[in-house]
Amino acid sequence: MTLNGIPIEDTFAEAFGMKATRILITAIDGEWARQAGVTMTGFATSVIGCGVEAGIERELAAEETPDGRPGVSVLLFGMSGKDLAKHLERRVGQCVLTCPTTAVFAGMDGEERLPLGKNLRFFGDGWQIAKLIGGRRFWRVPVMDGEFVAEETTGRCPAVGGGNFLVLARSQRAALDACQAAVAAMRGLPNVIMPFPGGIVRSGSKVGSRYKALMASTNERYCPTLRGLTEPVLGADVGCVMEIVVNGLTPEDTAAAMGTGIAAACAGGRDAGVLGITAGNYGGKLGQYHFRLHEVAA
Amino acid sequence: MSTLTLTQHAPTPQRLDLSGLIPERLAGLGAAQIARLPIHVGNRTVPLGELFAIDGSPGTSLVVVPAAGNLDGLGSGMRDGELRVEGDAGRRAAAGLAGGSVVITGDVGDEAGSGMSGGRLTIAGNAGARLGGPTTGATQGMSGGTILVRGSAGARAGERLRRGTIVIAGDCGNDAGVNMIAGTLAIIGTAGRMTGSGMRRGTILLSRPPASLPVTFADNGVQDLTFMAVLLREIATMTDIGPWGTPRPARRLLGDIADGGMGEILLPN
Repeated sequence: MTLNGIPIEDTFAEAFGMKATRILITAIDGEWARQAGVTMTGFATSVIGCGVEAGIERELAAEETPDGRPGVSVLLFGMSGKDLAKHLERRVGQCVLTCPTTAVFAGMDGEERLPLGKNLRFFGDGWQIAKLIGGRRFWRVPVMDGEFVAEETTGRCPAVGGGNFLVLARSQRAALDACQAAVAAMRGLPNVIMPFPGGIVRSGSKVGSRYKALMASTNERYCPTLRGLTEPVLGADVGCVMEIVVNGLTPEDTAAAMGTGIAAACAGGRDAGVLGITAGNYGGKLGQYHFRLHEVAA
Repeated sequence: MSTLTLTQHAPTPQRLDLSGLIPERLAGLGAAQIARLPIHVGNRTVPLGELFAIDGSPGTSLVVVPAAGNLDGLGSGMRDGELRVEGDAGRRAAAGLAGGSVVITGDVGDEAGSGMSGGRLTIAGNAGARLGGPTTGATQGMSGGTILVRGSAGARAGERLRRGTIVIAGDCGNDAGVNMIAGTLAIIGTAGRMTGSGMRRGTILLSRPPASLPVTFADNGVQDLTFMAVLLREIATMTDIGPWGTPRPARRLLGDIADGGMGEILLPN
């Protein structure tokens, strides 16, 4: 299979089950909502070292939010409900509660709930006020700029983490341009985030390491500087490989984002320096979801 | 959805207690059984069929068409389903309502929605005293659900309100929200004297200053409160009255200081 002359390898991306939640952050203007979103999703690239994977799903117009102010919707993914709850609370407490003018609301319904303002309310030291509005419980915590409003809980759902594809390109610039185009297109889709810096990973990993303490290490087969020493999977003209990792609320969301991303990455054809698309395939060691590139890119 | 309609033949001089006539209790009965249900009229017991014409079949929806405003306890204790009263209701309408919806197209007497814990009560006309207050002997008033009065309400609306939302589109008598424990009371018309007296927590939302306030309220200044946007939006959804009331930022009064002062009255600035 080729797209604009670029070969799409007949392989699959291997993804795994996660737990996810969505919260809505609003503020006095879009800039401050975004600031809170960026701060709370910082250092959230991989569960390996960050506890959760998080990103801004999209920006919200004033009419889309519960309090009629501009906002952002943020998705967080954790390996378990417990992990997710711990890091959600920690990040909202440190990055949203502290951010001028913000409020935080549930972005997801459902039976399974995660505490949002439920425990953060104790920052109010007894001066906090609960309001039950339209069947939803909100906490009003007095702070120095007025009140921090936080909905008591938000919903939680099963999700898919680690959907991915690799862009094989002639140079760093070519790989980056193709990946940036892919991320821009994928950001237009709902229910997904690309948690790595700018949505792109340059240090694709394999499971395990020769060092016992490490659970992941560099994927040497795709390192151009090791060509000739390792299993030959890179063509002679491949000078750079970059990966896009996508987490989605459902397998369908992940597949749709991968398809959109691959199409955008290949839009410039071989002339743009993109030489191939493949995927992180760990031989079934990592996860239960297998996204075949030929299916998602079809 | 099947609907049962009870139309009163003629007014009775005595008050009638209809507190057992709720959809969930009538649902399993046949028309003949419903006609035989005993109703106390003064010192007599009369079959329901003698007082009311019975149409339709019982299900989740019940319609009562009163001939006078002395039918008490309509919809009280309901947990599910819909009750529509086409006319005036007497006392204790929807008292102890726990779920479902009660709509009254006319006026209601005293103690409507008292002790309510859930569901939705809509009164198209006026309400009497102690709307959403405590039932006799109870230490707290309404503890959940919503009440909308499109007309005016009498004295002591929202007395000892614990949780839930009461919206009064018209005026309100004296002592609105007296001894409020928490919850929300919104008055779109004019509130009477001593509004919020003894309130411990909760929110009283006014669209104009009340006739008088207790002196035990502290001026908190003008505040632009985020939660008000959420609340006003919910009230707009509940009432379909359109934009109204307390604009943001609002003047905030904290009280009753004599009872901790964690309650608030929000007024136009």
